[in-house]
Amino acid sequence: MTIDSLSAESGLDQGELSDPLVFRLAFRQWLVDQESRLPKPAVGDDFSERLRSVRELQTRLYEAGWARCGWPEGVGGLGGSPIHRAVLYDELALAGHPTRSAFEHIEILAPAMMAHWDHHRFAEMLQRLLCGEELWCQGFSEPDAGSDLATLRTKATRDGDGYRISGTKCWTSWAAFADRCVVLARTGTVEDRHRGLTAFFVDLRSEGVTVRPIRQANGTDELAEVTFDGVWVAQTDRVGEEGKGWTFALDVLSCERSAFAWLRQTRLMAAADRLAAMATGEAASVMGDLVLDLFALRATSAQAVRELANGRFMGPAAAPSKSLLTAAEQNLYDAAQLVLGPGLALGTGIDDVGAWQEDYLFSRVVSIYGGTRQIQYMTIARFLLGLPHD
Amino acid sequence: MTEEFTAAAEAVLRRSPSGIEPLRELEWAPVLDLTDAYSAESFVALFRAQGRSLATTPALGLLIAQRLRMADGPQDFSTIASYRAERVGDLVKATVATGAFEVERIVADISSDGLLVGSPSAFSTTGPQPLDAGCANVVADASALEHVAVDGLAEHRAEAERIARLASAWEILGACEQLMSLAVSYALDRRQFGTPIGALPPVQQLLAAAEVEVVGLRHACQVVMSEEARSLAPDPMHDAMLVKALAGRVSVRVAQATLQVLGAIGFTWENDHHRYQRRALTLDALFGSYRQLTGMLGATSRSPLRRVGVL
Repeated sequence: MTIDSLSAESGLDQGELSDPLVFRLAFRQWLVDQESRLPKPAVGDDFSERLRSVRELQTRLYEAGWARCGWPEGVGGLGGSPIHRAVLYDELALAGHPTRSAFEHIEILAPAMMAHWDHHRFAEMLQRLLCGEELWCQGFSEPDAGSDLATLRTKATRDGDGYRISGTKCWTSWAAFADRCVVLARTGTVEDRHRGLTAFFVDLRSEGVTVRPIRQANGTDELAEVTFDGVWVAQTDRVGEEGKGWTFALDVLSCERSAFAWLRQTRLMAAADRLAAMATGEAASVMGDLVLDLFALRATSAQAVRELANGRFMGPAAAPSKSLLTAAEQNLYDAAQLVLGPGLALGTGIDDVGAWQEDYLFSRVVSIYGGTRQIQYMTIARFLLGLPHD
Repeated sequence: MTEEFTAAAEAVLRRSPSGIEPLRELEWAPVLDLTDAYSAESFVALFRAQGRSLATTPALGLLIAQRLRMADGPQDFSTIASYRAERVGDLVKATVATGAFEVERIVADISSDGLLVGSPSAFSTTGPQPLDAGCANVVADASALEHVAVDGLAEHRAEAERIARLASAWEILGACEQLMSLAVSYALDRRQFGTPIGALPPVQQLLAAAEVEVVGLRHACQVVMSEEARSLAPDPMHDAMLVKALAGRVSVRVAQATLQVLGAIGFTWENDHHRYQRRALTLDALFGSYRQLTGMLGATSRSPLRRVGVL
């Protein structure tokens, strides 16, 4: 199957779906046609139930071909570019479907893995991710290495035709539910800093892996601590060359700060629509400001998606997208506090107050994950504005 | 493409910063059209460069006159329209482009009276004048002006306002870019505590936050222009409000951050900071300010933000 044959199935002329606008309308129609057959978004406190419904949605999208759009045929995709994926998320959110969890790690991890890893192995793994069979997570941060990632201590040593990995990763989103983890480990010395790092694709079901869920302040179990005790990884699951892990990590961070911002804004747009329907009186000008935040975010993250479609990771230029995401998300939930009044804190007055409160609390951490606001600003100052290092 | 166009326009405007002449040199004609990518690029380059160079061409007044159907076509440099006008008794008070006195006719668009037209000799400057704003406050006897009836004026006015908002947004962006450039150069040169202040984390954080604002505005303006050229805009009137409001908000934040970096010298006539700030302040005040427009945007809260042409 290719995008062309998918287009034939959709009754469109061959090749038409390569146009993002035609693709968008075809997907929109499919969502309408399939509405009764697609899983309803799970709500409530049970996190695993929410993940299950997202994975079921992924499976349906995969079976129909949509989830393979935006990936090259060489890695098992149907062709197209990251723009096609961005359109999918936009339309999913518009139709009221979740665009979180599994979708986030597709956008954060997979583009850099495709650029750095052996295509044959990547293709095999990507299918499992896209169809909802597997969930992946990102093992970068450690208890003692956060903003200064290059000081990380998780170690990988050669052992036969593979490596043994030992160390602890922290603040690893979705790890308690994930099947595999992309681990950044040290193959050189601590003094080598970023030059001694290598990336590995680790099966979390391996012997020696311990995952300890960490309950977040907003009540969800998204985070975890992952300990690796001599976990064996085959050389074929080393992502990129030994000692080149920092370049890979920068490409992952680029996506986490830019293309991810696009994905995230699809969700914020949906939340803003719900909020706007409830906003009256003094909230109007606050909502007007929010419209500006969201549009600046949408326009800037769209540019990041186009860059990725042209085969370019943005590097430091991704930092403004993340910064705009931070502002938009925090301002959105500040507005929610205004519009919902005491209900946001006290849980009264609206049906889905739990979700609003959870998202309000989560919005506070947007200025920390994926590089703190201060790190984003330092990156912008030094690399975009050309200001001196200390 | 946009960057090259803007740099070229900026070079012309720095050499020849006022009047109609630089517009002739820039082959201004296609700008009035705005129906394809080339004219959109020209439009962007001209107004953005005007903000960067503080040039005072009457481009915007010409554009408004053309949209009000008071100019014959793109090559018609004879008529410019006011940015704002009001009737006070027998007088017409208006704000017009500083180049207005070079043309043959000035159009004052007054909401209650319609279009009143007269020769520049009927108008004289009056009262305090905006500095470095590219416009002047003028007054005329209403009896010296001729009323001109135009079919479908309401529609033309809306379109003129829309185009003026787009142009102002780009000009404010240009002024903000120049404010950033001023402050970054200063941060690299100025030394305190034995180091360029640009190496100090608080200064870096200030400037980076301002740069985020500028990047967001630039992409927002680009998306709107790109959709305009491709006829993909879901609601062009809303788009123009959006970028004009955003530009006003960004300019306040950028002017404050850059002043903070420049310190006291930035608050003097020895430094150009206040000139760019004044340009932005004036443009924010015209065609709907940030405050007015955000109120309107919030009131029509189910906004067509989810535009498809953004990708």
